[in-house]
Amino acid sequence: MLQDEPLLSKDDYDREFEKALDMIYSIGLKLYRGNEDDAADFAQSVYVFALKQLGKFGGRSAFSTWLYRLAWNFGLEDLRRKKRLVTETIDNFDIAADEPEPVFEEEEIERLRTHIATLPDNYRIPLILLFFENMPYAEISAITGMKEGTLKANVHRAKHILRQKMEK
Amino acid sequence: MKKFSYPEAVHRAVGEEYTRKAPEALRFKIHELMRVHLMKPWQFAGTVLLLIATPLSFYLFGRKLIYSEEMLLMLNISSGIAVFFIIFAGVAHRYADPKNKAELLERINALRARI
Repeated sequence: MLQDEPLLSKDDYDREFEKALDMIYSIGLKLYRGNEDDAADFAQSVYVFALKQLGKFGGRSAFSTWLYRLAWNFGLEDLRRKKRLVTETIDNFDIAADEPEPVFEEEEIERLRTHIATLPDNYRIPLILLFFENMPYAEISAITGMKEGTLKANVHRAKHILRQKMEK
Repeated sequence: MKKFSYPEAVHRAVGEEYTRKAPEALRFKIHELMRVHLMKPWQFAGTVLLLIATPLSFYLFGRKLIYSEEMLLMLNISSGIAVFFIIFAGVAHRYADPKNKAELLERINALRARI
């Protein structure tokens, strides 16, 4: 069910996908809170979805970059469909923007990891995209469908929640 | 002792939690998917039409034409074969879906393990 004549042949696609499989599986783990079954299902669905979209790959970026972005888009769309990622703007955002940035010690990372895993997806996903994937707000906004202001508010709130949990 | 800023700490925590190699079982399933032949929808519809052409023509024009007994026998056999292929195409179509295929593979693996 290929749409246009793709730039990559099916064999090349299979080879490239296999190279990128660890990366896609890791994206699945991030999206589905470390659930290995969901991440494996996600990787298989991405394989088929990307194959169907292969005609749209224009070669303007590396294939792995295109696949990486497509996988995030596909996964976030799935979360939106399941209503786990709400993209509405937060109106009553009341946290002071000038809270001091905390500094963490080595042994606190483990606790931080546990607390990040308990954050709602609305806060957890932007935090991961910003600090782990190093995406700028504009790009996160494009792939999550959230407005930049909402994203900044969500990241700020996530940090606030984490700070409170870490202080307990 | 080394101190981590917010972005560094989150980067490290997320990396430790979610960066893992894909398991072998998933690699196996992806290899299975790679072997599935993807059909264009019109190819699938064309195949089904071709398969039902013989029984359909028999049904539509059977009363208008005069057949010999051998001819009727041939038509009956070909109808049977066509029905078999339609069922086969249906099953193949179902397991072309990666989720259904993965489910089938899991069942086969579980059965193998039990044997």
